[in-house]
Amino acid sequence: MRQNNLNPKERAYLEGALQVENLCIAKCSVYADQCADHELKNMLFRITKDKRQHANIIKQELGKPEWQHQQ
Amino acid sequence: MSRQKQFSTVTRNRLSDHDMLLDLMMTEKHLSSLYDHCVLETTTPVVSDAIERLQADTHDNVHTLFIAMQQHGWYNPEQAESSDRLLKSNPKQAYKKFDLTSESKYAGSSGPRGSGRRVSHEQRRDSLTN
Repeated sequence: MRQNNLNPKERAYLEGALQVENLCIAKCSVYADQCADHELKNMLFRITKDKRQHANIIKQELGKPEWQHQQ
Repeated sequence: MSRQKQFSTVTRNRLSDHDMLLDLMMTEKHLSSLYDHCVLETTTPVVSDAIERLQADTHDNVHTLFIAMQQHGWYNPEQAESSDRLLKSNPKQAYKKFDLTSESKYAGSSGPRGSGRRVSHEQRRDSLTN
């Protein structure tokens, strides 16, 4: 876990970004399940995976534990 | 409203594919704007680099969503008509559309004397030659 010396403003921005990334993960997962079109479904799963990576990068910057895929 | 109904293919209490993609696109746009502010405010180079990478990925995602929506005919922004092209093809309509007339509320004027009013190219050429 990396520890950055973030100033309060940076921390606030990153916390906000993490919230929106998490919202995107939730939306993409739900929409991928509900989507009627098969191609769109795959695209949404890809975006979900991408968003998880983003959330992990932000967590690294914030010094929080990363999201682990549950088996 | 009618446009929304046109694309809503699924029943109530459930979003259509169009609505889902549109919602994701709006969320991504919001995120992109957030990263934009963040990268301008940050003072730590490591954080700045990370945010720039996230911003680039967000742009890629928006582009992917945009292409998917365009392929399904759900996102076709109209091409803005060039003022020059319209001015050549239909000057009357162009003047009216872009409010280029001397009566425009944006046109400067000194009242009855009319100085500061917009003059045509011919009038200007005549005034310069005389």
